[in-house]
Amino acid sequence: MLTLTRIRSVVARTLRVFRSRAIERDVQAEMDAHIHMRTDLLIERGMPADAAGAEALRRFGNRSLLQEQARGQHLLPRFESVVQDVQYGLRLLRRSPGFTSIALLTLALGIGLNAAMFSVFHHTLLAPLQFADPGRLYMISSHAASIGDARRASSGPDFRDYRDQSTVFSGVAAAIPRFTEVWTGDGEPRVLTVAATTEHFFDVLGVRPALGRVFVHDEFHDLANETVLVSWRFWKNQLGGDPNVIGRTLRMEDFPSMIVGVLPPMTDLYSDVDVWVKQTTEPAWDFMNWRANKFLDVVGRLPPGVDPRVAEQQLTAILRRAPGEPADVRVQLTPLREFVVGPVARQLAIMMAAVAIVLLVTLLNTAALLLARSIKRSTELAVRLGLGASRGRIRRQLLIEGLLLSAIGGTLGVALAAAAVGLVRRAPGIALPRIDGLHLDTAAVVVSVLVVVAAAVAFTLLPGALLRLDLARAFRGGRTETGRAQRPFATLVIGEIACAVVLAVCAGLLVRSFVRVHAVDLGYQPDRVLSAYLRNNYNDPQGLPYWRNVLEAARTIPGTASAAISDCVPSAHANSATIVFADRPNPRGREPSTEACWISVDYFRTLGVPLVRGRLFSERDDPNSPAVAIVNAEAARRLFRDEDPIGKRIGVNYLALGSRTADSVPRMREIVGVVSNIRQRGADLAPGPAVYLPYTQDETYHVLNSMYVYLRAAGSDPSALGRSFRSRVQTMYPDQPVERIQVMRQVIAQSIERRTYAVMLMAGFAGLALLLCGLGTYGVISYAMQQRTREFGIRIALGAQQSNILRDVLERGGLLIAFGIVLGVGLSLLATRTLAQLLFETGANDPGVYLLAILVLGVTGLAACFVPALRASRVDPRTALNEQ
Amino acid sequence: MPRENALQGTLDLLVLKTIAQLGAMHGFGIALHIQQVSSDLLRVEEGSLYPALRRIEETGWIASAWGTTENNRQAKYYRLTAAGRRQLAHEEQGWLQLVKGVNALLRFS
Repeated sequence: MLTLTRIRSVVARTLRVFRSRAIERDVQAEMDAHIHMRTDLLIERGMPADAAGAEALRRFGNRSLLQEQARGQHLLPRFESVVQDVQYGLRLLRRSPGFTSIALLTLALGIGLNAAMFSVFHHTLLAPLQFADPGRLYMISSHAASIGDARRASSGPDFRDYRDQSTVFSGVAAAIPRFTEVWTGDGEPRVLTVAATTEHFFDVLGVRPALGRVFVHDEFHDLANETVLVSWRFWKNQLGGDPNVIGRTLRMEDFPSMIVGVLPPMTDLYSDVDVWVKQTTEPAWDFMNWRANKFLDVVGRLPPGVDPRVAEQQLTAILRRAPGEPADVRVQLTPLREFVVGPVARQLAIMMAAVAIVLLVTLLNTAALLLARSIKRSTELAVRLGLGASRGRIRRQLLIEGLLLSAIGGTLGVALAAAAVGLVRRAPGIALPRIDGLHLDTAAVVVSVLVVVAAAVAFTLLPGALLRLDLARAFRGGRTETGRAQRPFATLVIGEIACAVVLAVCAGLLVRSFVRVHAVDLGYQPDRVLSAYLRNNYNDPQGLPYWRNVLEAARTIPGTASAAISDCVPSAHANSATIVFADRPNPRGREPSTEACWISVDYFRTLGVPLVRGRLFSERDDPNSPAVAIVNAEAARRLFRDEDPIGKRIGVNYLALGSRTADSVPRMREIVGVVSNIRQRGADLAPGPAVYLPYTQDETYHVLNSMYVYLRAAGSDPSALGRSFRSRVQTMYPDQPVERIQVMRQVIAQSIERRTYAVMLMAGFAGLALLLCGLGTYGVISYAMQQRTREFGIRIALGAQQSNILRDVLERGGLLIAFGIVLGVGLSLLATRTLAQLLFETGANDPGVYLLAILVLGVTGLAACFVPALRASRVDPRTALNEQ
Repeated sequence: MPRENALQGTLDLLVLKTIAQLGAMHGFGIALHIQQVSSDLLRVEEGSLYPALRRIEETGWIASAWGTTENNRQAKYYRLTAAGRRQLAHEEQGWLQLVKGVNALLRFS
């Protein structure tokens, strides 16, 4: 009942907390006065002075206790004792540095990893895109089961149809997401990453310029007058953040372009773009008229309340009316966020789960440590209970100790997380979308704090509940016997081992995949090959002598065995083409699709790809000679079955941006050779059917303005060739940038970068879990053995052999480990299914990996048991029995 | 802790009544008075009076001030507040009622 009086008293006490010193002195003085007066009275009645003083003290009672009580009346007891408990807790932590540092390290690592990973996870996958009302933005694509069901972007005609015929959108716009242009006139020539947008693109996204303006309507119809926008990053890094940048001219592709605006930082979409140019939707460019040339990203904004499925139906109907589209084509609206983060969503989710398991192991471990310690302290606690401390008070003190530990561990963890996030942001080549704006976010910190608090409560309630604080038992010997009291430890050890098994299996599967990827036969010999990228301004026959000169320059560098050019990058990239046959009907929309590369004569020789049948290209395959093609073994098998492909005639519809023949029937080419397969699109992607065409026979000449040069070194190190190559090219063409100079091994490493990171992370997590698990098991078994010292002493006194004791302990530990492993294997069988996507030529239930994980955990666990077991078997019966 | 409360209540009553009878008085005087009047019935430690005094003062029923005794010692004198007087009346009432009830029970046989 909270009466007014009581409130006043509470308020008064609260105030007095702040002047407790004065009160203490006051109480002391008052008690002194009492004792003096009693002494005076006793002397008055005839007692000798010293006896009177002693008698007065005796009658007064336990002075310090009473003083404590009187003072206590002034304070909110909780507050004061909380301060006491915190001080006490800190003292305890300082007193056992071993325990404290292990517990703090464990917590900091678990919580730090969790907060960092959660930051990445949250920032990348969960945070809304930085556009106005981003939930209403969709990427429009199409697919059809009859042509392989792959997601297709949109062509110029597709986009115009969507824009002009649909009624559901509040805005539709398209962009060519990425191409390159050469920037000259400001120092070293450079290759820029460029995106082109249709009208309204920035309106649809809701992006306003940071400086200047975006493109206006008239500009899309006046192509002679080039205007461009620059990205925030490009403006900051390349133009020095010049505030007067509006009106400045950039020389791109040898044409002056005027900067009319600077965009705000766009970390969520096309973040690597340097310069934005206009793209007219009118048929100024031929390739915008080709229905099958699907290379545009089309973004639509739906007004509130419109179901994307309704929009999908409408657009599907529109696309099905278009000539040449398969009858089963379907249009799909992908939320823009999914489009941006989709490729990494699963991997991030898996890593997040792995980190959560590490955190769980961390918590189990800390719980085990605290539990063991509080049982060790049970005598102390029982004594305090006996001296009058209330159970609530002791429980509170345990809670405060737990909180203290988690608070320090959590703080360290958050610091660690901040460092880790910085590392992720700056690490070169972490291919995560939206990484630019990554920071340790509040949600992550809040979640960590929650975890810490939950941990503290768990640590405390566990021992609190399990420890019955049995006074009698504690005094009887301070030792609990084996059996019941150890059950919670058994649970913790089993849980930890099970978690570690799951992580070890996952890591094992990823490592095995990784090893297989590295050992895979790429189909070519990358070791002595260097690649470089050249981008020029030739879209016409003038490009032919240019490339002949470049090839000649490359070939004659001392130490070069051979040189070639291609628009493809082995293990990284290839364009696509559809194939039509001269000798059979070609149903429209059903043409088989292949990888397609334009190459020079020595491409296969330079890369080390063997010829299977027929011949390679020669210098005689030029623009004026009959058109030819080479196919790989896979294409020969799939396209020609049992027939010999040599001599067959095919037409190749090249699907790359701008370099495709028009919709008319492509010219027929005779197949002159078959080469063996190479992994063209990635070291971890199986080789598909591929066609190779001489670059001199591109009738559109588009391929001439951008290709990679490959140099095979005569010696073992190709990297030295890069500098000579660059200087030779720039001697001939001073404005020619030579970029992306890399040895092929680097290119391959980049193509499996995500896999590499996944392996490193997962292996790290598993290693950490294993370490924690070993520590936890060691701690728990040590503790359990200590509890049984007396029993061992008796058994040894009665003649038990050392080996008997050793075996007994190891059996007991082994049983726990076995339980943990069985549980862990069961969980792994469920968990590894989610990994399937990341695996390479490795089954999700690969028995080798499971066996290894079981072995590693078993050995670690038994090793952790062995030291305490050995110690137990060497117990000296005399000391063991005396100690108790 | 009902038992403790009952005891505490009784001690409060004694303290309040003593201060009411003596006017302003220090702790030693109060202890002495209770012992004499109750014929050493309360054989508690003398010191245990002080936590009680503190508590009662916190509640606002008594107020204290430092003063000088006849023997020229500094001592803290307690006096009853208005709230204390009301509380005393209330507790006396309660006590009498309890006694009446207990008596009735004892006589019932």
